[in-house]
Amino acid sequence: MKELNLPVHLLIEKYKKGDFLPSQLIESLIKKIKEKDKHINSFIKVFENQAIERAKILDKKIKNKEKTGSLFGVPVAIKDNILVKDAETTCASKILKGYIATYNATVVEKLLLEDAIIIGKTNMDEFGMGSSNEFSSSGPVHNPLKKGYVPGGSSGGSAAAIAAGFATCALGSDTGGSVRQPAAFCGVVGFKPTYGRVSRYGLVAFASSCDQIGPITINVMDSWTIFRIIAGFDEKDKTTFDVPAPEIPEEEIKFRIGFPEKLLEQGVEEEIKARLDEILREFVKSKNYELKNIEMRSFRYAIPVYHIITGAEASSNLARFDGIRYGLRLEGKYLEEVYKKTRGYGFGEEVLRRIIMGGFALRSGYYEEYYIKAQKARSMILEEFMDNFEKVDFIITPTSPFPAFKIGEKVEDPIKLYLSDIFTVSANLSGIPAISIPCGKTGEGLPIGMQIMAKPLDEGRLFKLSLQLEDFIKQRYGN
Amino acid sequence: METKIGLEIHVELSTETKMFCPCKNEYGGEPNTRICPVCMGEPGILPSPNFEAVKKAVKVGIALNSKINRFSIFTRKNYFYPDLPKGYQITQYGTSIAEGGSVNIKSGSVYLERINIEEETAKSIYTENGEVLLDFNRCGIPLLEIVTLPCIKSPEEAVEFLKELRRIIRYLGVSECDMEKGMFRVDSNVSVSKEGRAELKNLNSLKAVYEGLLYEIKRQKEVIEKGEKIRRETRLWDEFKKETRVMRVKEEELDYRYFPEPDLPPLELSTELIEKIKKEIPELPYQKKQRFVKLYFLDEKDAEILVSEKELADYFEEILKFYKNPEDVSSWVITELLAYTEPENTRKLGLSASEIAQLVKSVNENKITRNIGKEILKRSISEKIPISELIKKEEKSIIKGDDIIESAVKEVIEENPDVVEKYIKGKKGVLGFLIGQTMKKLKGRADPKQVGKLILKKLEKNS
Repeated sequence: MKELNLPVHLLIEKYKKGDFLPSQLIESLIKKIKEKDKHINSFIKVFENQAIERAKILDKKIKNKEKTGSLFGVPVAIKDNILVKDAETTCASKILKGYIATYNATVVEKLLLEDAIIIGKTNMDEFGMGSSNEFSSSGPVHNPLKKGYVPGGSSGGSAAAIAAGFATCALGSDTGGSVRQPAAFCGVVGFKPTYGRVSRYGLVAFASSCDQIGPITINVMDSWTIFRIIAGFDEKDKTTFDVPAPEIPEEEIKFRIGFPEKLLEQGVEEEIKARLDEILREFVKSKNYELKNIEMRSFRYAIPVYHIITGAEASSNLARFDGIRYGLRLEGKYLEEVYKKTRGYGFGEEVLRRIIMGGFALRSGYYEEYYIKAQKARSMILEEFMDNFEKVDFIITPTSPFPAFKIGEKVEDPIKLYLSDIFTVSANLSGIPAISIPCGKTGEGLPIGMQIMAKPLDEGRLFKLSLQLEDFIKQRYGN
Repeated sequence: METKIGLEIHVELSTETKMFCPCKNEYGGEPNTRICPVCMGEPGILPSPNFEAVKKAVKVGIALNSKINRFSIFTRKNYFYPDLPKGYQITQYGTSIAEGGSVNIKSGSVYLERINIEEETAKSIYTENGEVLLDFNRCGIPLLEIVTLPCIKSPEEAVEFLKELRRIIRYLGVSECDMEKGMFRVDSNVSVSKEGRAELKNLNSLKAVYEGLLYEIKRQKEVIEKGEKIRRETRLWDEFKKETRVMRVKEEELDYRYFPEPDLPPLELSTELIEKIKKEIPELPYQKKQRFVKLYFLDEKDAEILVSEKELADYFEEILKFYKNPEDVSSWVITELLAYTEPENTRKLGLSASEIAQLVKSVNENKITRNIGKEILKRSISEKIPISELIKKEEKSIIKGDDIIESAVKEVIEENPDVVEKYIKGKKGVLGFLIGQTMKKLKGRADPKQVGKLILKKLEKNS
C-alpha cells in the first residue's frame, strides 16, 4: 500500500472518498512494521490487536457516515514515556519493566478524542536521557536513512518510525532537544511547544521545568495539526497556560530573522553551516525579509546549566522508582539493600550518572554553588533571548552542530554527546517554542535540520514562517 | 542552666479531598481504598493543590496571629522511605504560607516561627511476624506544620501551649486534632545549655510530651553535671520504658536536598481572600473565656472549663437562653453533666438545652431537691426518658404537707436521743445529720430546707 506515507489531511481525504478503510491501512502498516522494524528497532511495543480493533470501530463510522474527528484513522506512535492506559510503559528502562499504565496521559486522551489510532510505543533513550537512542533497555535504534547510524535522541524511536513510514505522526518529549534533534537526524519535522502549552500529565517526568511533549511528523502542517490538538490548559497540570489557542496569521508579515553567525563559527560542521547560510540568504531575498546577525553570548553556559538543573530535577523525579509499589524489585535483606539493588540494577549507566550529578548539585552546602547559580544563569539566557526578540521575530540555528553519527561513535564520551544539544537546550531553559525542519542532506546522505525559535506563545507566527521555509526548501532541494 | 523547648506540631486538616489529588480525606477505612495514581506516586502524575486546604491553613495562621504571606512556594523534600511514594514530600521551605505568630498561655506567650502546608505520608503497619504493610489512604492528606521558637521553658508550659493550640484549631473547625488518631502530632527540640540539643520524637500524647520532656531535661542536666557534652541527636521517647533513646546522631542526619517544586506555580493569595477568611474566624477560646467572665460573672476556672470545647461552650449558652442563671447553670454543667462525658461529647448525651434549663430551674425553685435533680439527670441519660417527664413525676410525688414530714421528724428525733442531746448542748452541726436521716425516711421526696425548719421547730420545743 503506497498510501502509507500520506500527510494527515490527504489520508483523511482518502478515507472519506472510500479509497480504503482505516483497518486496511492499519493492517498493512503492521505488516510493514513487522517486516522492517527488526532492522530499525523504533518500536518497543506494537499494539497490533488493539490498533486493528480500534480501526474496525472507525471503519463503521465511515460506513454509518458518523461525525469523525480531525485525526480520523491517523496512525500515531507514542514515545514510551507517555502513558497509554493498560499498556506497559517502560521509558526504555529495566526499572519499569512490567509497569502497566493505569491512566491515559492528557495528550493521549486528546488524540483519541479526535479518532486517532495509537499504533504502538516507541523506543527512546532511557527516561529521555540521551541524544543518540543508544541508552535503551530495548536496544539502540537505527537511523532508517542510513544503516549503522543513530537516529538521534531521546525520541529516536518516534523520529525513526516517522522517517520509516511506520506511522503518520508521532509524539515525543523534548527536555533539551529530544524531539528536534532526532527529527533533524531523520529528516522529519520535530516541534517543541512553549513550556506550558501542552499538558505534561501522563508524561513520565525527566526534568519537570524543561519537559514538553511535541509532535514528530513528515511535514510542518501535520506538526501544526497535532500541536493544535494536544495544546491547551489542563486542570491536572498546573504549569499549563490558560490562554487562547494559537492561530497562524493570514496577513503577510515582513519577518525579521536573527542568525547568530558568531555562534556557528565553532564546532558546527562546515556543510551544515554553509547549507543554512545559503538557504537563509536566498529565502530572505525571495521574501524581502530582514536577516540580522545577532549575538547569543549566554549560549555557552547553556549545556552546564542545563545539566545541573535537569539533573537536579531528575534525581528527585526518578526517586519514586524504588521497587516498592510497581516495576522492578530486587529483594534484599533490609530496606536499603532493596533500594540499592533495585535502583543500581534497574537504571542504566547514563541515568545513574545524571541522578548522581543532580543529587550532588542539590546537597546542602553545594546547592547555592550549583543549583542556585544555574538558575541565575538560566534567567540570563531567557533575558538574552527576550532582548533579541525585541530586534528579531525568530532566531535560526542548526538543530545540531553535526548530522547523525555512527552507532557507538560517541557513546563512551558523554561530554561529546552532550554537546550535540548545544543549540537545542536553550529553548528548554527559556521555555520558548522551537521547531526543527529538514533542509536537505549532506554529501554523505545524512539529513540536515534547521532550528527556528520564537518568543513564548508565538507559535502561530513560528508556523507561518516554517511553512514558508519548508516550501522554499522543498522547491530547491526536493524531498 | 536554662531550659529551652521548641515544638513542631503536625496537624491533619479535615478537608473534603486530599492535598494534591481528588481522593477523599477520611480517617481509617479499608486500607488502600482511597488512592489514585497521584497519591500513589505513579509515573507521569502531577499535583493539583487543594484550595480548601490552603484556605484552612490561612485561617489557622490568622487565628495564631501569624503574618500571612501573599506569595509562597512549594518545595520538595527528598528522602527515601516506603511510606513516601514519590521519594519526596511536597512541603514548604524557605517561604511559608504564614510566618510568626503567638499563642498566649498563663505565663506569657509562645512564639511561632512559621506555618507550612505539606502532604501526609502513608501509614506503616507493623505486623507480628515482622512485616511492614502500607496503607496509602492517609497518604496525601493535607498537613499543617506549625513550628514554635525555642521559647518554651518547661514541660508544663509545653503541655499548656499544646492544649491551647489544639483548642484554637478545633474552634476553627479545620481539624479534629485527635491525637490518638495521629491528627495532631508533636516533635520537640530540647536543650538545657547553649551547646547541644536533642530532637525528641514519638510524643504521641500530651502525657508523652510531658514525661518525655521531663525525662530529657533531667538526662541532659545529668550529662552536663558529669562534665560531658550534649550531643546533637534525634531521640525517641519510649512510653513503656519511660526513657528516651538515640534514634540517630547528627552525622546520620538526612540531607533532604530541598529545591523548589517545579510542578507547581507559586502559591498566591489575594488580600481580598485573606480579608474574607479573617471575617470567618469565630470567637476563639480565650476570647470566649473573657466574655464569659465579664458577661456572666463566672469565675476564671469555671469559664476555662466551659470554653475547653466549643461544643460545650455553645451548649452552655444555649441553656442560658432558657434559664438565665449563669452561676447555677455553669455549676450543673461542670459538676453534674461532665461527670457523664468528655467536654466535646456533651451533646451526645441527648439532653436538650431547654430540658437542662428546666432541671436547674426546678431545683432552684425548690420544686425538686438537688439530689432528686441529680437522680433525674442520671435516669434521663441511662433510660433515655425526657427530663421534663421525670420532673413532672417527681413534682407529683413530692411531699408538701407539713404533717407527713413532721411525723418523720418525730421518729428521727425519738430514734436518735444522743444526737439530740448533742444539739441541745450546743453542737449545732449535727442538724445536718438529722435532716439527712429524715430525708432518708421520706425517700428524698421533700424539700430539705423545709425539713430543716421543722426539725428546728421540734427541737426548740424539746429544749
